[in-house]
Amino acid sequence: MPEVDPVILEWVTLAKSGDQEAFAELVYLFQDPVYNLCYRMLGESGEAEDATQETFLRVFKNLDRYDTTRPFKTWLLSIASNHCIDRLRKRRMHFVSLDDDPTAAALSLRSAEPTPEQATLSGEISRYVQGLLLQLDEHYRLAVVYRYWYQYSYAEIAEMMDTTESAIKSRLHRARKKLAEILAIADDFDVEGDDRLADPVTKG
Amino acid sequence: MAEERRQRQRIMQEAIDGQLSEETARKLFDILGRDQSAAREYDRLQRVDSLLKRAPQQRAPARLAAAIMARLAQRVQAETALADLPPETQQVMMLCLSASMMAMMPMMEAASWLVLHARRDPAVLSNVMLETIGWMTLVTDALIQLLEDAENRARSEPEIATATLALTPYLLRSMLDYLDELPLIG
Repeated sequence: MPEVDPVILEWVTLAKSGDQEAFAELVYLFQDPVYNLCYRMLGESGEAEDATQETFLRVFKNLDRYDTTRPFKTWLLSIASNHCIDRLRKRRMHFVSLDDDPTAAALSLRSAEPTPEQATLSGEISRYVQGLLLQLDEHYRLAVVYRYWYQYSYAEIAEMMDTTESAIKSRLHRARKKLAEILAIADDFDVEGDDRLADPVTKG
Repeated sequence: MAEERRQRQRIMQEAIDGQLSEETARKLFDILGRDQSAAREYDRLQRVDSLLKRAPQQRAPARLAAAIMARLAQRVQAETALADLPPETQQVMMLCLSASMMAMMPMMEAASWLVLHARRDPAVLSNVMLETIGWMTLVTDALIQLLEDAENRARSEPEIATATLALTPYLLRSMLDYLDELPLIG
């Protein structure tokens, strides 16, 4: 784990004593990574905003529980991810999952097709990837998000998700395999002339 | 055969993670050279990896930090106001809240039972979900209103606040009566 930043530690200490300005510094510094995690986990910007707000409120309330030997960002992201997983569990009550049906998953990528005003390449990739991510079970999705957006090692992800390094390795492998299967089905649709499913990197 | 395939997939994944020894990398390239389906599989894994690496970080909307700080200030203010109440009143309010939550448990169980037993029939499930969400919203709204009222009154007249909360079981009873009249299943 990287070393703890003394400036952040000072803000945390001040915020613990009720200093809201010090806490605001933490919010400004970490709002992007927390929002990105919530967006990648939940897939919807309005809900990601709400989850980010709730995460910071929980963080403020639980600052006393923060172990100052661990990086603050790691602790913060763990709280955000737990909150997102809770939301996804509640949401599962209302929707039928596509988890075990790669064909349905590939078809659902139709909704990842960008509108003309959103058709910049990075925006296109972002939306396409989001469509793929949403086909993964939440624990697999979280492992992928930690690995690809935050560059955490297997060991770090294992610690954050309270499991073993080999379990994380296995989750990442299975996640990529499943996404590759969805791409394969999308390729078949592409061959049949429906290029709306083609990924934005290869469709040229 | 299945074991060989599993091992091949493990090597591909480790290659994606950049964890292959030179010898295993040579073995992988050998497989990819002679097996077209393996080459296609590896190509797709690489595409997945490339897509994930290229997807950008989503940036928080400009107003988000201000919204967080506003909600925080509001919450701190509300907690301070509650902390100003006499300790006996706080204890009574907590007791009443716990009693309200316990009173809600049978309703939660009833809702879970309805959902679980309606799963086999999509039409019934849909009906149950709609009705359940409807009356849960009704109960929650009514409880929130009751609690807000009790909290406001507690500052000036602590006895009236507890009396207000004592109405909770009657509120829940009337909700159950309402539920009885709904044609949910069968």
